[in-house]
Amino acid sequence: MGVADETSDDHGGHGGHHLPAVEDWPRGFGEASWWPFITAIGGSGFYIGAALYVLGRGDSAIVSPMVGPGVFIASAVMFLGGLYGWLYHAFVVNFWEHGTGEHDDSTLRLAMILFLGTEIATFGAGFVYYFFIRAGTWPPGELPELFGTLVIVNTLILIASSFTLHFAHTGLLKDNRKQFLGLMGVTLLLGVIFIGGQVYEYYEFIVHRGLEFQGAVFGSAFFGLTGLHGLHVTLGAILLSIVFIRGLLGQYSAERHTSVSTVSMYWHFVDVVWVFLVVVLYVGAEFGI
Amino acid sequence: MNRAVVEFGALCALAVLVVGFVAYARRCGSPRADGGYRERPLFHPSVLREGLVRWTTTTDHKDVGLLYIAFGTVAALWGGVDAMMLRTELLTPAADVWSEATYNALFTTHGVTMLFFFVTPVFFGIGNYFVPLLIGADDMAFPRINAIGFWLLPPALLIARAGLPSQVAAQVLGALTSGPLVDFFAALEEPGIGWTLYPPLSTTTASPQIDLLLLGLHLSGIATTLGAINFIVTIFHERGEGNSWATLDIFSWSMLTTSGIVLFAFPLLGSALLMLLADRNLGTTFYAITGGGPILWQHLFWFFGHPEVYILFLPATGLMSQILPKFVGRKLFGFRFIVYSTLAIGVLSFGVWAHHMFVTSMNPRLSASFMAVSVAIAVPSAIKVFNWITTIWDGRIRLAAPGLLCIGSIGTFVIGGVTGVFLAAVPVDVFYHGTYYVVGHFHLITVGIIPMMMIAASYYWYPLITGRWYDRRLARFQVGLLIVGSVVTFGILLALGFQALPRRYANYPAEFAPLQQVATVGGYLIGLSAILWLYNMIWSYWNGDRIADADVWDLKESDQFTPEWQWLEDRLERKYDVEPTEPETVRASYTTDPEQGSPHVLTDPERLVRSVVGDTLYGALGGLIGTLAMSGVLFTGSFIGVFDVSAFAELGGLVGLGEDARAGYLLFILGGVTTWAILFRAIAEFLPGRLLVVTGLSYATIMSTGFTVAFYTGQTGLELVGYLVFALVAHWLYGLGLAGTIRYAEYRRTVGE
Repeated sequence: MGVADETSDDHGGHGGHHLPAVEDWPRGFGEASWWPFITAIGGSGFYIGAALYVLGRGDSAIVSPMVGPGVFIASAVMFLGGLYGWLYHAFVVNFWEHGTGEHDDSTLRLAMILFLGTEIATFGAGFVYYFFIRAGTWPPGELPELFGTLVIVNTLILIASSFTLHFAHTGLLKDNRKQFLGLMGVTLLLGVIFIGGQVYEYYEFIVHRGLEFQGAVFGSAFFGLTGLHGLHVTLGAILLSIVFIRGLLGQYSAERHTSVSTVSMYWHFVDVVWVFLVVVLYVGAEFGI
Repeated sequence: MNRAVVEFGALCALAVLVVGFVAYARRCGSPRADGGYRERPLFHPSVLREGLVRWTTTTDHKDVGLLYIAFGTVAALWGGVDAMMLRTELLTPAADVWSEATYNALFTTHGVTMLFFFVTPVFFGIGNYFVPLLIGADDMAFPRINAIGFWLLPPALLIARAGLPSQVAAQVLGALTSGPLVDFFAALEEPGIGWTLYPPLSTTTASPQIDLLLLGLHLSGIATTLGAINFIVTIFHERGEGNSWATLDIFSWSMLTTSGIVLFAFPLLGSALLMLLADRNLGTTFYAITGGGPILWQHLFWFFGHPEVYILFLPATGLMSQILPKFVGRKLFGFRFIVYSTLAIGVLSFGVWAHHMFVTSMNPRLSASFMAVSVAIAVPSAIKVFNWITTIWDGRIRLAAPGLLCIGSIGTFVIGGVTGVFLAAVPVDVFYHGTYYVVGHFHLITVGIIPMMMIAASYYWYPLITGRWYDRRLARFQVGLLIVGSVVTFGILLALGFQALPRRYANYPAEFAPLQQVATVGGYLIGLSAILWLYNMIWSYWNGDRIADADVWDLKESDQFTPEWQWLEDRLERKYDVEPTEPETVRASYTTDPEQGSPHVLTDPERLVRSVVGDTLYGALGGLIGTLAMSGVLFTGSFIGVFDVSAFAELGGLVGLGEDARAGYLLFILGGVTTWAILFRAIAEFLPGRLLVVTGLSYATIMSTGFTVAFYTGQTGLELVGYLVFALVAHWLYGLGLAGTIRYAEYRRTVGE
C-alpha cells in the first residue's frame, strides 16, 4: 500500500510553513500521529456509552444500567487523554521555540468563527421549538415566575465577564501582564459564579416551583435551551482556565495571543446567546410579549 | 427469507472476495523477473502491522482522502446491497421475497447509508486529495482535525447500522446458547421508519436501534462539520502563491460552497436528532402533539434535508465542471457564471425546504412562497447545464470513460432536474408526492450525476493516484452499463409514478409487475457496473499499464494542464527523471478567433442576426415555391382522377380543424414552408448528392414514401400506379423548388461578398 510512502517526501520543501507533527508519536512516520485516532475512538465511545445507557433504562432494560455510564467514563478518559496528547505535541512541547506565524493565527481564528457559525444552527433548532410553542396557545400551562432577581444578577455577571475578558485581552496587547492576569482571573471567577447561579436556579425551579421537563411543553424548551447553554458556559470556563494557567506560565505576549482571542470570541458568543435567551425565554415567556 | 443472514452473508462474501482478489492482484502484479525483488505477501504479519500503523496514524491529506474514499465505497456497497434486496422484493407483486417489515427496514437503511455515509465521505475524500493540490497548499489547514473527522465516521456507521450485525450475532449465538447477550443482540433490529425519521412513528416505535441510529447520525454530523470547517479554512488561507480568488479552480469553489452549507445544515440536524432522542427517552415534548408537533420535526429535518441535497449535488457539479472541459478540449464556458450559480444554490438551498411538506397541514400561503423559491432554484442548475453543453460545442470530444460519464450524466441530470421542477409546483406535487415519480426524480440525480461524477473522477485521476492506467476498455463498458442501467431503472420509476403507483410499499397490484421487473433488471445492471468498477480499480492498481509521463490525458495540447497534473509531473521528474513532455500541436482551449473554433459568435451579432433571418426567409420561400409547384402536380393528378383532394380534408380533421379540404390544404402549405423545409436543412448533409439540388431530390424521394401512405385514398390498379407516379413527381418538384431557392440564396450571398 505504497501510495503516500512515495509522496511523503513532497512536503519538505514548501517554504517555511510549519508542519504540525514534527515531534510526535509514533516517530519516524513523518506526518503521522496516533492522537486523532485515539481521540476519535474516545469521542465515539461517548456515543456508544450513551447508546448503552439508553438501552439500560426503564423496565425493559436489556443491559445493566451501569454499563452505559461505565463506557462513557472510560471514553472520557480516552478522549481527554487523546486531546491532551494532541495539544501537547502540537502546541506545548516545542512551544518556546515555535515562532509566531501570522499564518497559523488567521487559520485558527477563522476556524473559531466558523465553529461559532455552526453553534448558531445548534442553538437554532431549540429556539425554533420555543417559537413554535410560543406561536400556539400561550401559556401552555402553569408557568412559574421566571424573570426574577436571580436571572437579572446572573445576566449582569455574565455580561460583566465579557467586559473583563475584553480588557484582559487589551491589557495583554499593551503588554500589561498584571492587567491581563488580574482580569482573566476575574473573568474566570465570574464565569464560575454564573454556573453556580444556574445550578441554584435549576434547584429552585425543580424543587420549589415544580418546573419539570417530562411531558412539559415549556419545560422542554426551558431545560433544553438553558441546559445547552449551561454546557457551553462550562466548556467556556474550562477554556478560560486553560488560558489563565497558560497566562500564569507566561506563554502569552502582545505578539502571541491566538488562543486568548479565540477563547474570547467563544466567550462573547456564549454571552450574546445568553442575552438573547433571557430576552425571549425568560422575559418573553413571562410577559407574553 | 432471513434478511439479516442473507444481507450479512452477501456483505461478508463480498468482503472475502475483495480481500482475496486484492491478494491475488497484488501477487500477479509483483515484479518478479528483475533481480529477485518480491513483495511480502499481503497477510504477512509485518505487512499487516505496518499497514495498520501507517493508515491509522496518517494525517497526510492524500492518505486521509483515500481513507474517506475507501470508507465511502464500503458504505456504498452496504447501501447497494440494501438496494439490490429492495429491487429483488419488487420482482413480484406480493411481498414474498422478504416481509413487509424487512422491506421497510431496507429502504430506511438504504437511504441513511447512501446519504450520510456514502456520498459526503466520498466527496470529502476527493476534496481532501485534490483541493490542496489544486490550490497549491501543502496539506489541509488542520491535518489532524482532518484525521479525526475521518476516524469518527466508521464508528458512526457501525452505531447507526448496528442492527444488522446484531441480528446475525443474535441468530448465531441463539443457535448455540441463550442468555442476556442473545437478548441484547436480538433487541437491536433495524427499524422500518424511513430515512426521514418522521415522528410520531419514530417517537412511538419501541425499537432501541432507533436510538442508536440517532446517535450514529449525530456523530457522523460532527465528523462532517469538522471536515467542512477544515475545507473552508484551507481554501481561505492555504492557497499557494499566485492563486487568488480570481484563479481559484471550479472544484474548490464547489467544495467551499458545499462546506458552507454543511456549516449550518448539519449542526441543526444534530440538535434536532438530540431532541428526538430526548423525546424518545426523557419524556420531552419537542415533537409531541402537545408541544412542537410532528410538523416541527419536518421543518427542522428538511431545513437540514434540502441543503443536504445540495451538499451531495454541488461537489458532483464541481467535478463535472473540472473534468468535462478536459475531454472536449475546450475551457469551461461561463466559468464565472457557474461559480455564481454555485453560490446562488448555496444561498437558495436554505429557502426551499418546505417543498417536501406540501401535502402536510402547512399554511397554503407558505406553500406558494416555497414553490416560488423551489422553481427559482432550478435556474442556477440550468445555468450550469447550459454552460456544460456550450463547453462541449465545437470541442474535440474524446469518448474516454470520464468523458462518457460527463456526457451521460448531463443527460440523466437534465431528466432528473426537470422532473424536479414539476414537483416544485404545489398542484403537481400534491398529486405525485406519494408516488414512484418522486423516487424516479431524485434517483436520476442521486445516481444520475453524483456517483457518475465520483466514478468519472476515479478514472480521470487514477493515473495520478496510482501511476498506472485502469483497464480502459472495461471502464467504457462499465460506464455504458451504468448509464443504461440508471436510465432504465429510474425512467421506469417515473413511468410508474405517472400511473400513480404509491411508493414505499413492498407489494403492489399485479399489473405493474412487468415494469417493476424491468426496473429491477436495470437495478441489477447498476449493481453489476459497481462491481466491475471495483474490480477495475483493484486489479489495475498492481497490474495496469504504467504511465509514461504526467500528461496522460494530453491536456497540454489544449492548454489545460492543471496544477494537480503539474504536481505529478514535478514528482515524476524528481523521483524517476521523467522529462516533461511537450505536445506536437496545440489547440487553445479558449480563443476569440472564430476560425479556431471557439464559440465566439457574438463578436458580430448583426451579421449573425442577418444571416439567421436571411436563412429563415429563403428557407420559407423555397418551401413555398416547392409546395406550390407540388400543388400544381397534385391538382393535375386530381383532374385526371389519380389523386383525391379529400385527402386534404382528412389532414384537416387529423389536427382538429374539421373535415375541410381548404383548411387541410392551408395546413399542407404551412407544413411545406416550415416543418419539411427545416427538416431538410437539418439532415441535408447526411443525404446522398454532392450538389444541394440533387440532395433536395433524394430528400423529396424519401419524403414521398410517407406522403403516399398518408394521402392514400383507396386507389387500385392503374389509378394506384398513377397516384404513386404523381406523388413522386410532385415531391421532386418540391425538392427542386426548395433546394434550388436555398442554393440561389447562397449563391447571391457569396457574390454579394
